[in-house]
Amino acid sequence: MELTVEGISKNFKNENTVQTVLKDLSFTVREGQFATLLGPSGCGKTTLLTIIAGFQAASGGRVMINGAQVTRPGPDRGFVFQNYALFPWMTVRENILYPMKQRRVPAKEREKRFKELLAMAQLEGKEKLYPHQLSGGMKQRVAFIRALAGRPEVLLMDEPLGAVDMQMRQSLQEDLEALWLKDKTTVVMVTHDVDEAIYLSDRVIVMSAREGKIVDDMPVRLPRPRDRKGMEYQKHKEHLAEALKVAVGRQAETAVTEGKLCLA
Amino acid sequence: MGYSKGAMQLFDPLIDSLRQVPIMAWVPLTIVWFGLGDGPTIFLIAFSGVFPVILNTVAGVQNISKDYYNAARSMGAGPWSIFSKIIVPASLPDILIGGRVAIGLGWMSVI
Repeated sequence: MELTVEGISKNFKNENTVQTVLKDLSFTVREGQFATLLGPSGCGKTTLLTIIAGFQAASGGRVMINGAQVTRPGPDRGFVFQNYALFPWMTVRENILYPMKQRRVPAKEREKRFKELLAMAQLEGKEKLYPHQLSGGMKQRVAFIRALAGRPEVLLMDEPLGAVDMQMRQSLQEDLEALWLKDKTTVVMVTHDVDEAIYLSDRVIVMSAREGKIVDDMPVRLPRPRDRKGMEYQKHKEHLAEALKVAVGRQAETAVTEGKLCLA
Repeated sequence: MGYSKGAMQLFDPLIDSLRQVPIMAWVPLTIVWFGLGDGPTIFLIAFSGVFPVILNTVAGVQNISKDYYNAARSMGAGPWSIFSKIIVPASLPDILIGGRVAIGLGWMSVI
């Protein structure tokens, strides 16, 4: 599976002004890659993600999965919402079975996959609870395995850890990484957190605040699980922090090229 | 109606204008329609109950977060599944409130 974003643009029209949020964006995410869109708030990264998901239409360009263009939401792209969007009227079990029922997975297989996912997220015994009875971390894991239940080709995550505090965040990142390593689905994640981006992803795409251009596209080839205090890790972090400064528009473009040289 | 803007624009003026008419004003009309007896009474009770149910249902459906629709769609849900598994359960509390108000109003029109 391969996700290709080809020349995507998005404009919002107000009464007589046109605001460009995304301008001619292109990139390709390989099978099994964990890619992160990093950028300051308001740079259009979530917009881009919802366009890939098909929740809204692009003003120009196209999104392709395995070479076929997609325009509407579909089970080939799982989505993890910032607020999880678990259905509060369904139990954990019903929430997770829902996507499989929609895909008409036979009952036996459904049951098997359900057990598998539950074990993967270490949520055994919680299947009869409702979302409001779960802790934040558990909700996040349920949302993650619900998105995986329908066996999507790509998993799209919109700041999946945006709503939790710093301490919790780091341990959830570790959980998320462990979960992902068991499944190795292609992932596109949106975040504004540099540390989260480096810790989790194979590749970080930095977007700028103005017109949502790609400022930097950095591979992260550190071995997993990553040592947050390691030299290389810190170097990556500094580099991304620089790129983000450019993204916000505080420094000239040259800073990034210098940064690249340093890394090389 | 809560789901579709078009339907809202079509029916909202009609419902809003009908529901402003006081219940007593319907009495002569219903007697003409149904004659004397239980007919007008039953009609009026039902009639007075319809509006709170409709209005609360519309409000309930409008209040459903867009994320739920998007989530369902990205899991491959069709229109029927979205209606029965998302719209109905998500707006059920509001529908029931409408029902409760309706029962109260029905009792009022009995008297």
